[in-house]
Amino acid sequence: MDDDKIVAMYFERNEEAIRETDLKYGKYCFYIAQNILCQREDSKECVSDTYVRAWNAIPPHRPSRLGAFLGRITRNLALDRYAYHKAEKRLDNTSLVYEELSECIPDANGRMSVEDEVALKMAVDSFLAGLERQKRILFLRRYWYLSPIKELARDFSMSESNVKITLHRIRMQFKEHLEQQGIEF
Amino acid sequence: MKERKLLDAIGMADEEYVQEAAPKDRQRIRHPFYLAAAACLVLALTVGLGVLVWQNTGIRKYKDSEYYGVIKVLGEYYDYLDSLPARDDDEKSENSAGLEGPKQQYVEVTDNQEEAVIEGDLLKRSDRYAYYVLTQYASGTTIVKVNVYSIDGAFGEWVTSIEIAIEERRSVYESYIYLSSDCKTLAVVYDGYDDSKEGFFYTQVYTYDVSDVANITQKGKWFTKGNLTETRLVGNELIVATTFYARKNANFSDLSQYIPGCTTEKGTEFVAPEDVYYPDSVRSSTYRVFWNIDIDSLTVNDSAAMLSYSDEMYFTDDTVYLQCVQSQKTLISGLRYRGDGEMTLLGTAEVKGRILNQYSMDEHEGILRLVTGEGLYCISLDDWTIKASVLGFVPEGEAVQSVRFDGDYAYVCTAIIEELVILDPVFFFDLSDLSNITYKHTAEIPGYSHSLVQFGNGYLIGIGYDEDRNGKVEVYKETETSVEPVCSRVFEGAFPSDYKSVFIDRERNRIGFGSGEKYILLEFDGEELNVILDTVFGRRDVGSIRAFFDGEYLYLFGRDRFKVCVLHDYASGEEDSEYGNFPPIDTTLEFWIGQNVAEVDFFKYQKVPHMQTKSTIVVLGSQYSLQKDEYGFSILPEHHVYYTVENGRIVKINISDPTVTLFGLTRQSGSDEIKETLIKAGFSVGVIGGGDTVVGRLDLKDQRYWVYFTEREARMTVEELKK
Repeated sequence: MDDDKIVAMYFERNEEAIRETDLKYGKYCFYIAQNILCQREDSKECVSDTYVRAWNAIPPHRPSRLGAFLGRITRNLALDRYAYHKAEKRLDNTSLVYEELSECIPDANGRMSVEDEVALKMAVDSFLAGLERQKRILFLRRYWYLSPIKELARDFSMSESNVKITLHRIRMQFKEHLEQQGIEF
Repeated sequence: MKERKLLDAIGMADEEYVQEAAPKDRQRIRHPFYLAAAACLVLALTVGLGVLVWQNTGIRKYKDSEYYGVIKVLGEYYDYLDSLPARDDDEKSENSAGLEGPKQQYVEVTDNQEEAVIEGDLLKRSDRYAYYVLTQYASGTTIVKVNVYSIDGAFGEWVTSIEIAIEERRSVYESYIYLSSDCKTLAVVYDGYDDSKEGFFYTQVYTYDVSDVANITQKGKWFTKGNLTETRLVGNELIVATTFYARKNANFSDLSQYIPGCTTEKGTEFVAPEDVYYPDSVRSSTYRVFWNIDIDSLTVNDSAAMLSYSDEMYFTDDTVYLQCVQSQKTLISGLRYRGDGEMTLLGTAEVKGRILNQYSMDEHEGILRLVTGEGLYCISLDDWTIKASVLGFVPEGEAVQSVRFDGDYAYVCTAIIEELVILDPVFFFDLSDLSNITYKHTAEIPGYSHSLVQFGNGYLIGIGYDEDRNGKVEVYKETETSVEPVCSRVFEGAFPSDYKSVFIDRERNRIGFGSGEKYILLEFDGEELNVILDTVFGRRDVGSIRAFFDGEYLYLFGRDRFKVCVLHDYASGEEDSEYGNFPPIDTTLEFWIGQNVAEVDFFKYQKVPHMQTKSTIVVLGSQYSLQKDEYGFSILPEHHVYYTVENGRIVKINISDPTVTLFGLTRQSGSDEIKETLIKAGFSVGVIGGGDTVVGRLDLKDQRYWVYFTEREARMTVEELKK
């Protein structure tokens, strides 16, 4: 079913909207959650929570891209759950992503204001717009979808070390971009 | 943590880029049919090899198989199936083990005139489920529908529905339901008109096995020509009283034209000639027909037909009394409809005037008491003679509006209708000594009562209209010298004229009814009628509303609408410690900033279905109600407020109601005003989305509050800060 029709069902408060959402994006959302949590039950719950939040948000929100909208919700829920349950430092995929991103944080001390957070969002967009397509996809696959390195290697027909090196270079570019934008953490 | 901030910022990336980067495998939509077909094909191959793969964890052991690639794909597919959240029907089937549960107990919700003689109603219930019948019209189709709801304190909700599609040429007039005493059989009784060439009224009965509401099945059906007059259920005997019209100038060689009959799955049968009763002369060709039907099998135990009798009937647990109005007199007859032996005409007496309705008659200690427009009569049921009477107490120009018998006493409300001014005296009769019946009456009171209800302790409640034809509820008290009004309340708007739609709780002296678009619950404290609930309940068809209490929760049922209320819905303006400090909906909400909202119990508010998870519930503000129709769920009014609650704490409030303020702002406030107000309230403020959304953030102790204002809604969320 088209996204427009699904969204229309949300606006009509038709409970079938959730069923159609699950049919079309259930596996997609589960993939995102599973990359972060690596726990099937937790991931299932995140997907269920995603549907709740989607129902909550639509209307009034009308997502232009339903898949991305849902994915973002799942991502945030999974990250929250990951943070909540993380009892000790462990070398899972998500903690590795965190480590990698720590390299991107400009060296500055400061309390982040709301305006800074808004500016950060704008900086991310401008950075992505400036990347070539394959690198942008790789970057988002790793840091939006939290796809494992092994999977990226398979999907991009690269060796794992090549994936790591490429991601490292992109992260350095990202850090430089943030500094140029005056983003302070 | 900073890394998390960055991750969140990346999470806000443009959706176009996000979609572009979506993993290709997970983007492709696999049609279930093709998946199933592919799976079957591969499964056939694997079965042929004697290999079955169901668990991903076991796949590795097949890595040496030449079919490993296929096995792996199948394994991933089965993992995907396992990963899907349970669907609605899956959830229902999962729940069905719980839905069968322990044996159900019947709970009476209808204020029956006679105990153990159950009257049909729109609503019936057990201790676990409620059933509500309605007639629905959609796209030219008529459906008789029974909605089934779970009864579970604050969490009662719609479970399933039974739908009976009506043939195209037929209309439906009235529908009622019965639930058997063992709660296993639901009978749906309805009547209407068949607009075929022949043209006739009809009554239909369907029975359903509801012992497992997840798997309701039809048991039987029964049909007769003639519209429905009354129904009763006594034990397992369903009494269906219908009105059959013999055809004018009937062809007497065709029984169906002048003798009532019925049709079941086994065939057609007519009322036996010895069971047809008629006076010496008749004034109409109308029969009142009584069918005694076993509710489980729908077989007819017995039947009888009374020719030229009218449709006002009074049922005891084994006898029905009805009248035959003639030119100078009225015949009152009694028909035994159940018990030892067959249906039998017991006797007939003659009186003057005609009875108003079932409440105008009462059987008490071998005496049939009745009130007609001419007076009060007491008839001995031994020999059917008049033992006592009081005639002429109804003044000229007045009419009997309502009657209630209570042991040795009777209350009769008459009314004078003069130039649209209605005046209402109530007469009180002492029938304890039939040789010396005494009565007293009140002064004239504006308005009249169409129903009189005993409340005990000498109080009587009148439900009717005032002189301006507004709905009126009045309390009377019997004194030594008269019946006197104690207090009353008037209600504008639609008001029930059907007694069954009035909820009566004699234990707690409460009366509930629909008024306009609201539901009102009154409580009599000995002096005043106090409003203890005043809640929105949708449309104005107040006659279709039914209610009952489950503990402290009031369940309301209407035509395809349902609501669970708690008495604190009424905005008394006072704080309730049980609910913490959560205020009525039309006040500002910043009260909870900085306060311990863990004390607030949101589980007593109406849930929004399909938005619940294990750890999260979404509930509506108290002034809003959830409706369900053929298009799905909707919330009334259109703009509403709901609360997302996790572990007993509000984590989000969504406000689309333009009357609700947040820090003095509404969703329609301008962005400059919003920014200025939030800053004054201590928030850090930003604008995103080109000025469409104003965002505020406030850190207090270990919580962070986010506020969002868009032109469509305001939203508050709470985030726990980790130390």
